[in-house]
Parts: sequence; structure tokens; C-alpha cells
Amino acid sequence: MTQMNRLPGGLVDRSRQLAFTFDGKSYSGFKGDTLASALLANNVKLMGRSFKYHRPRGVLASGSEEPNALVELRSGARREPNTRATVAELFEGLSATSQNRWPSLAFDAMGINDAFSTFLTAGFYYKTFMWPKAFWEKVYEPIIRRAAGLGSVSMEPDPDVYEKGFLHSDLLVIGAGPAGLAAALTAARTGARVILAEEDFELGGRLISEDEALDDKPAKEWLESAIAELRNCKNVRILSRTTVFGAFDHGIHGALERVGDHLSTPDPNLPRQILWRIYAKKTILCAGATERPIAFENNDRPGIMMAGAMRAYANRWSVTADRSIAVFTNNDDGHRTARDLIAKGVEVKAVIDVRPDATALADYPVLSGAKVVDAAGRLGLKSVKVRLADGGSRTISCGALGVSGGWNPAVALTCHQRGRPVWNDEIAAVVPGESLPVGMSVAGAANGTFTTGGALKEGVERSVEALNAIGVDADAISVPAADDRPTTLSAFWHTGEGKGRAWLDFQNDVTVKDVKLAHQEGFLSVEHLKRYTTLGMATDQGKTSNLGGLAIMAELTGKSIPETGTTIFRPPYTPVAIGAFAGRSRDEEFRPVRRTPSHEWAKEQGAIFVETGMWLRAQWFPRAGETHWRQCVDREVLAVRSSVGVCDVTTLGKVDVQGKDAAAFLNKVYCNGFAKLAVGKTRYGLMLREDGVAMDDGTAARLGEDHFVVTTTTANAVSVYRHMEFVRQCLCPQLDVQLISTTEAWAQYAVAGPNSRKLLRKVVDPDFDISNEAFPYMGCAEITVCGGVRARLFRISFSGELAYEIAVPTRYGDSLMRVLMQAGEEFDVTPYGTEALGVLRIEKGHAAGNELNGQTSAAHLGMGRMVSSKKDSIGTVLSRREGLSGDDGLRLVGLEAIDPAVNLPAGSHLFAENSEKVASNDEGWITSAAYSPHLNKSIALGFLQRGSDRMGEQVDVANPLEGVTLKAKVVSPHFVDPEGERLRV
Amino acid sequence: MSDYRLTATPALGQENSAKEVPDSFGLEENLSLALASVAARSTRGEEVSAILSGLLGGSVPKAGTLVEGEDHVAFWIGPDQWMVAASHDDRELLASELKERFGGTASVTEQNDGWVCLDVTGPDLPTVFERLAAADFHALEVNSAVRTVIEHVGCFLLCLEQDRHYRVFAGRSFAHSLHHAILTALKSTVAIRHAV
Amino acid sequence: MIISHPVLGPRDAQEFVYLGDASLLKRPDWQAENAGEAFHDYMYQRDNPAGVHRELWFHEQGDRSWLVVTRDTTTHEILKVEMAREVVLSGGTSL
Repeated sequence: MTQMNRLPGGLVDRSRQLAFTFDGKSYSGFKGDTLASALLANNVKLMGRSFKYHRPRGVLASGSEEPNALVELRSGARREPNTRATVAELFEGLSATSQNRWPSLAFDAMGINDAFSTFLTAGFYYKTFMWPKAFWEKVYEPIIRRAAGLGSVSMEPDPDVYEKGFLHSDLLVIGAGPAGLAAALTAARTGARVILAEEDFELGGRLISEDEALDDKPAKEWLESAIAELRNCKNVRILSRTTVFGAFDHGIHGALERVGDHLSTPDPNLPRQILWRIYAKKTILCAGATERPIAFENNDRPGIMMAGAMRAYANRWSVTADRSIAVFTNNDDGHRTARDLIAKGVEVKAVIDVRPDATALADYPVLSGAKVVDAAGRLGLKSVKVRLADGGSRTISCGALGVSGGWNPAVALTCHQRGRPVWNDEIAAVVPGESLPVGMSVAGAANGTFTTGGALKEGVERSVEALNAIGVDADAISVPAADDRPTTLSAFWHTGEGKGRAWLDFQNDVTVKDVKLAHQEGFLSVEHLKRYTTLGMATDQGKTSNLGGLAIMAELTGKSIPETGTTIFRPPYTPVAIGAFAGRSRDEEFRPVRRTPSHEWAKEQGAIFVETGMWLRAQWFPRAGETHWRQCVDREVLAVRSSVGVCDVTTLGKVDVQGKDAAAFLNKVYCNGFAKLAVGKTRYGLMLREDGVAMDDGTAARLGEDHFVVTTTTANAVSVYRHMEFVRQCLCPQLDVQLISTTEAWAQYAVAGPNSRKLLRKVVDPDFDISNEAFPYMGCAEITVCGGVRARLFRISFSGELAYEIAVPTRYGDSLMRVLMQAGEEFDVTPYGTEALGVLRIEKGHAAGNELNGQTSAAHLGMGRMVSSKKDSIGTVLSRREGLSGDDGLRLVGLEAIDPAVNLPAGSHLFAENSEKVASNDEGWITSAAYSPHLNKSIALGFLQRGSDRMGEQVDVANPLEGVTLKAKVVSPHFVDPEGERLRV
Repeated sequence: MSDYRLTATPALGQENSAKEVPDSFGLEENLSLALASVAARSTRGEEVSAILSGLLGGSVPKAGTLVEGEDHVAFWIGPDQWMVAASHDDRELLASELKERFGGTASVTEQNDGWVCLDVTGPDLPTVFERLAAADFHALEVNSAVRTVIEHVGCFLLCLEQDRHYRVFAGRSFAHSLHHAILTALKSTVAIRHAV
Repeated sequence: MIISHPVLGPRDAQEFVYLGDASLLKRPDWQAENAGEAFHDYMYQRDNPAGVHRELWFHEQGDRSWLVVTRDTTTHEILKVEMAREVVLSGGTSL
């Protein structure tokens, strides 16, 4: 018997039958079904187990507010827990599994929780597991985590791809029901740029769920023509399957489009979802309303659902939860459900209406002034118990019950900028307040206007107002005549009878009793109520439950609901997968990769690469027979010291500084002087922060009277440029100086070692004399190489050897590296990576990022005398403060391990020999450490108190993390050639 | 003269990067441009504008735009600052030429190889780029020149033909990542168009 | 947030880098007698108003301009956006 609960009519496509499984059992549905409607069609009422008590649950709603029918959708790596069956579009081969149950949905061992419910009431976390304290982590928490909770994740990487996107519009309309369509049509006709976002896969909102007439014709006719007109407008972008989940500052909205969730086999290039950032000058929220339940004992039985949902299932999806139903309502709307279901051939046993004067809309029995007080049928509703107006009771057997306690406007997005909704007595609900997000207005049911006619008119009005406000001429369009009769309602929240539990928050298992307990224990404010009971704190944010909880608290305290207060909603409106926020930024695509000019060549050499910021740099170049990285690095270091090595240093930031006042500007940003630097010379420069702490170092080469090229460290290239622009624009805008980054325009290689000049002579064009006399240490020049290619040559050294840096336009970089290798064969030229670069500079005692760590001053670095007192540069004044400049402060020193076989771990702290290793005795720390193949021992750089006075002293190097204390001797940080003779040969 | 000769390498390397590009779209590295930035010296803005205008045949690019002259194209990159482009074959020394031309009125910096330049062509490019960067591509007119960010990579994007031809400049070291991002978006665009 | 750049029009705040209080534009005289104290105050004494605040933002992913943005920190309403360079040159640093 397939689809035994399928009714005639509806919007499903009966020509496209779709096979699917739920808990392994096969069913069929139609194109246009949701998983929930298809399950109901197959008479499956039991869809899940509740969070805390493991109560059997069925579907409650027909939209995204669903708290109960949460399933695990798909299988394997694509399995997604907590998917609401009401919004999961049916596709061929869909497989879903119920969750939070074991071994099966119908028999769940954890259903035992339900029997112990007395211990699991509000605040049970705080009371039950007070002691012994150690039990919390080991015993209680794991048990609770297993017993309570929702679905489980696949624990496999998500195979789907997600994208991010950006859209701009004059008007964003959220929701494509009658109000949204009217607003969008009004704007569309003006030529304004409109985005219409609808979370459903069908446009129309309640129009497709109701049996209604517009202009005395079926609503479908107007709906189809309106949609067709919008689709034909180039200025309108319709985003269906798209939830606007957040309203942020200045008209920025977050929206999630589910592009591929409804497809059986997604194309590997198709993003599963797109996270849109929508910029809107104006926004109209037309998100409709959410029906709310009435609390009575056992009102969570499978088969008890919202009356509006029951009607939507019948009208739109042509299914009923059962062939025999009843309705419990406090308003006119419940009667529409009875009328529409009768029209579809479903038996309506009774409409139970709390209002004493209720009358029928069609041919069904009405029990006026009555209320439902209990329900029977653990795995599916069998009957309801009714308290009649005269005090008697009656049991009505039915397989489903529609409940309507009135409607709550969907105000969530109006709260995202701290807006607080206000109480409206007429509809006994909260409506948007005055403080809305900038640019937002609200129309239709979301604004508390519950009639179709009212929604259409309000959509037009809000749209005209919004467009006029941004200078677009807009005329009110004519809308079809529609039902304008107000719905009458008598506020009614719970039946207040019986000793059992009556549910308010279905997803977090919060009952009327829990609210009473909170009241009894003094948690009276709404914020306390929410946190103590967890009411409204589940993934549905209490869309169906918040107001009920408030109303009951109001009743208990004898206050009105507005006096009791309201809670507000936060983004996201519905849950958003983390993958969508990540977009493409994951795995290898986490961030862009910057390649150096020699990257391809280095790859061919089998280089090992390391990420430095976004750059990928060669770390070392293994040769045949080398089995340990240290062998490679030692060889590379020794090659530089004995012959010549080449290293790609393109990653250093380069800033072109030009202008009449270029030198004056550098005087300002560097603590040392640049005004007198001769053209054709390079100078080391140290930049301080304004607070006197060292920020960055590099070199500035003077290529012309008014032209410098400044280098920064790789890591600080971006922030130093920003700082230089700050100084230029904000601190000395009167200087004539212009800056631009040229980091990537030049491929730059360090050529270092005693044979570096011999090697360069083979590539530098002979017009240029690079002899020591003509081109001494710290020289710079614009030259040509290899027969006329322009190049820049700097005689600077990071390694302490005779060395150069040579730069050519980047397109020649790959080629220059190959040429240097070829030309250098006779010297056994050796490429070296960042690791050898680091060892070389530690041996030479050059500071780098580890030493310029944002805590150290020029004095600490041993460069205190560089800070010029004759000029105004950033940081000089504050660098004179005692703590940064005192003689007794930290100094950069070298350290040699006493035992040459051990490494001095970087990060270790320094202590006077044999002193107790406590913080108060701490005298400094190691910043950089390496094995020096040149000295054949472990060496390090570090900061040590009074360091310059302690040469030769032995200190303790303590590393509690590694549990070691070593001995080291304090030495000069210049392990190699302290006089700097090798540089100048 | 040195015995050795240098050859130029494209930012995307020698391999043929066009092979994966979906039909109807084009995504190619443009190797033909020489570039130089021109920034007016203090108080010399008007003189610079006049010289630039002469170079470009009568007008100077305003914020967010480019102007195409006979031999040069220029686009705005900041207050009193422009990027000038010309044929690399004819004017590899563009920066030197401009330095001479602007004399002491402007700071000129060679930018030839600071950038990778990708030409993207095909139907309805805004629907591709709306998933790459925050600029308002659907409103992007011919001769617009905007600075934007594509997958964390800062770019200049020029609109050469409305909705059909964009030219993207990004730091040269980002070439492969930028190409990958745009190629991925082209492929997903095809998939999305097919799915709808 | 959206910052209306004086030259480029409305731009997403994501394109900018925030620095802080615009009083940083008013750097003390290094040769003044009380320079040490003045720089100390300049560096560390900041107002942190709940309300209207002038702040420095850098258009890093744009034209590299430093801007002075007048913003209400309680509502994020942006009341005024100026080029920092022009603010300083016009002497508008008495914040």
C-alpha cells in the first residue's frame, strides 16, 4: 500500500515518482514533496526521538521552524545530522535515518529517560551533578552526552564544495509570499535593482498552502502571472531555496542558497551551497508568521501538528497525516483547516474551540468552549481527551490533531541589530518594534498583518516608501482583491489540567512544569527563565515556543506579557553549515599561495618547501645520499662560507620611495639617519614603533637623490607598508614623498660566499665594474646582466660573507637562477634554503623576526646607539624610557652549549647558574637556536639581563616543557667574523 | 658581454593553462603589457594631469576608471596616482620613457613584472565574478577600473567590454592561486547554469 | 559596515584595516620640554567613548588612503568620512 495518505490535487508532480528510504525501508513520493510530506503520504508519523526524554515524535510544522522531525540525511561522508524533514526536498534515491534512538525508532532504550523525567527537569545540570566534582568530566558528562543530543556527524571530510558570493541591490525583499511578491512587483516595474529571496523551493508563501481566491479566481492564476513577470525582469534576481539568515550593519545581509541539496548526484563542480553577502539599500522583511501550539498533557504525540501545517500538507502536498482528524484552536484559522481537509475527503471528527461562541465554517462538529486536555498513542496519536464547556469530558478517537494557538510574526531578523519587538494585544503576539535594522521595513504577516488582502497592500506600500526614500519614483501597483476579514482569536496558552507534562519547547524538551519550577525557584526574568529551563535555546531558537513560555511566566507572576518582557533573536535565522562560512577556503585552498620566481626550478631540484606567511619558500635542497635534513642544511651553510651559495630572497618586502623629501621621510620612519646616505649606497635601517619598541628592520638603497628602495622583512611587508603610509599621510603630509610596493616586480637572489664576486662577474655585463674598489661593501647600482637585461645590484650580506643581492625583472627570475647555477658550476655553487639562511644569520648574530618580536627595543638588540637623538623619528622619544633603554636591561647575546652534542632549544629561559628555576630568577630567554656546522657546536641567540657585561659567564638554560636544564656560555652574538672583515674583501 | 642569456617566463609558467577552461569562456595570461605607476609630486598634480592627458589623447582617468589612448592606457589607483600600461614589445622601458616625460612632476616606478594579468572573456561574466569578489559587477560599465579582492588576493579589475571581458591584475606571485580561483568559478558557473 | 569613502563611495568595511582613535593624528613636538610625558599621553591615554568617536581606518584593499571615520560606537552609524591627509593639512587635528 503506497502513499495511502495521498489526497487529490496539490502542487506535487505525480508524473515524477521518486523512490527514497527512511531507516532502511523503501517508500515513494513525488517531485515537489519534502521528506516530511512524503513520509506522511506513506503514513509514517513517527520521525524522531526528542532531545532529552527520547519521546517519540512526529512532524509538527511544514516549514523551517520544525523542532521535531530532525533526521540524518544522506549517507557516508555526505551524511548531515539534524536536517529538518520539512525542508528537505525529496529527490530520487534520498536516504534518511532517524536519530537519537537505539536500537530503533520504535523501541529506544534511552526512552528510559522519560521514566526518570523527575530528575531531568529544569536546572538538572546544576542540581544533580554537584558532587563528587571529579565525576563530572569522567562520568556524568559522557553519559549525558550520549543520552541526550541530536544526530551524529560522519567524522569524514565534507566532500561537497561551498562558495561565497556578493550581490548588490536597491531593494532586498525577504520572503516571496503575498506581501513579498507585491513589494517585488512594485519595485520591479520602476527598474530598480531587486533581489527576492525565498527560503522555500516554491514561490508563493502561504498562497500555495491555502485554498484561496484572488480577484475571485484561484490564487494560483495571479501567482503564476506575478512570478512570470518577475522572472522576465532583468532588474530582478530571484533567489529561491535561499534563507536570509542575518541582518547586519548598514544593509548587509547574510543569505544561504541551497544550490545542490535537492539533487541526487551533485556535479563535482557544483557548489552545494552559496553563502551570499547581500548589500541592500533598502530591505523589506516579508517572512510571514509561525503558528504556535497550545500546551496540554502529552501534546507531543506523533500526529499532533500545527493546524496551518496540516492545511499546507493537504493543499500544497495533497497529503494528510491521517484519514480521521480533529482540530484544537483558539482562533478562526483552525476552522480553515477543518474546512479544507473535509473538501479533500478527510474525516473531521471535531473542531475543539476554546471560544464559547465558535461556529463552524463547513460541515463538521464544533465543540465550543472546550479544550483538549490529554492525548493517547505513544507511537502515533490514537485519541484525544476533551474537557467540554459543561465540565464533562469526551474522548475522541483520531489519528491526527491540528492545533492552532494563533500566529507569531516572524520578527527574528528585526532583532538582529538589537531591535526589540513589541506586544500587540489584538493578535496576542509580538510585532516588530520601532528600532529596526537600518533600511529595513516589514510587511504582511511578519508585521502582524494576517490577511492576504492586507499583506498585498502593505507589500506595495512599504515598497513605494522604500524606493522613494532612495530617490526612485515608484507608483503603487494594483493588487488583486483578496480576503480581508480579520481573524479573531482568544489568547490561550495551555489547558492547565492534569499532572503530566505539557510541552512548550519540543526541541529542548521544556514543559509547562519546567516554567513553573523556574518561577518557584525565583528565575523570573525572561533571560533567567530561558537559561534555567533552556527554553528557546535549541537550533530552532524557540520559534514555536518562546511566547508560550513567556505567557505562562506572566500568568504565574500576575503580570502582563509585555511587563514580563520579550527575548530577542540572534543570527542565524536557521542553522548554517560551517562549511558554508568557510567557502572555498579549506584544505589546500585555505589561502592563496605566493610562489617565488625560482619556484619551478626549486621544485625540479626536489626542494623541500616551507610556508612563510602565504609564501612558499625552499627550506633546503636535498642531495642524493642525504638522509637527514641537518645534512642538507650543514652542507648548504658550509658551501656559503667556503665558496658560494644562492638563495631566493624575493619575498622580502620592497617599497619604492620617491620624492624631493624621500630622505627626510626615511629619517622619520627609521630611528637611524638617512639624510646623508650617498647615492649608490645602501644602509641598514631599524624602524621603531611609536612606543619605542623595535618594529622591523631592512635596508634602504639610494638609487637617486630623490629615489630609495626600501626592504622590509618578509613577514612584516604588509604592515610596514601600512605604517609608512600612515606616517606619510597622517603625520607628515607636507613632505613630498610617494610610496608604492614593488615586492613582486623584481626577482631577487642573495649570492653569498667568498666566490660570489667571481660568479657574478660571469653574468654582469662587463660595462659594470664590480670590483671591491669600484663597488665596495654597501654599494648599490642599476646595472645590466646577460647582455642587457636591467638589474639592480646591492652589496649587502645577511650571512657575514662577501655577498650580493641581485634583482632582475621577475619574468627573468627563473632564467637567472638557472644561469647562476650553470655559471657557478666551476665553484660548486650551492642553492640554499630558508633553514641555511637562518643558520648563517644566527652565526653572524643578525636579528630577525624572533628577535624583533614586538617586546624588544633597539637597546635590547644592542643597537641603542643607532637611535639618533638629533632628529625626530617615530619611537625615539619613548625608546628613551628606562625600561627600554636602561643599562641593566636585556641585551642580545650569543650562547654556546657547553656540551656540543646537545641542542639549545629556542624558547628556553636563562637563569644564573644553579639558581632556583622560578619566575623571579628568570633572566632572559633564547630567541633563535641552531647547530653551527662552522663552529661544530650548538649555538643560540637570546636576550639576557645585563648581557653585555656577562661575556664568558656560564648560565643555565632551562626548558621545563622538555624537562631539561642545560649549561651554556655567554658569548658575543657575532660567532663568525665579529670584525666584519669578510664582508669587505 | 656575458656569455649567458636570460629568457622570460610567464607568471603562470610554461605549461598550457588554457586546457581546463570551459567552452565559451576564455582565461589567459596577458604577456603583452609594460606597466609603470605614476604618482604626482606634491603640488604638481595639475601638471601631471596635463601631461597624462596629453599621453592619453585628452582626458585623465578619474577614480574607478580607465582611459585608453593611442599607445597608452591608464587607470586610477589612488589619489593623484595612476597605473600606465603600454605594449611590452614596443615599450619595455615604459618607466624610463615616462620618467623623462613627466620630469620632476611625478614619481614613476617600473611595474612591468609586479603583476600577473589575466584576461577573462565569455558570456555574462558578472554571474561568474559575483562569486569571486564583492565589487558590483552587474553595474560595472566599460572602462571601469576597480580594486577588489578575489579569494584573499588583492586585484585591479578593468572592464573592457561590459559583461564580456574583464582584465584582472594581481600581485605576480599570486598568479597560480588567482588563476585557480577564476577557473574554479568558471567551472562552477557552468555547473550552476546547468543545474538551474 | 559600509564606509562611504570620500573618493570611491560606499565600500565594505572588510576592505579596511582599523587603527584606532584619530587623536593619533596629533603627534606631540619631539623637542618640547615635556616631550616624554606628551608622547606617553599620546600613545596611551585614549578616550573610549560609548557614542561618537573619530577613528582611523586604512583602505588597504582600495586606494591605500588613511581615513578619519566619525562613527557612533553604540549604533555603528557613520556620521562623516574624511581623508586623513586633508584633515591634517587643513589643521583639523584638534580633536
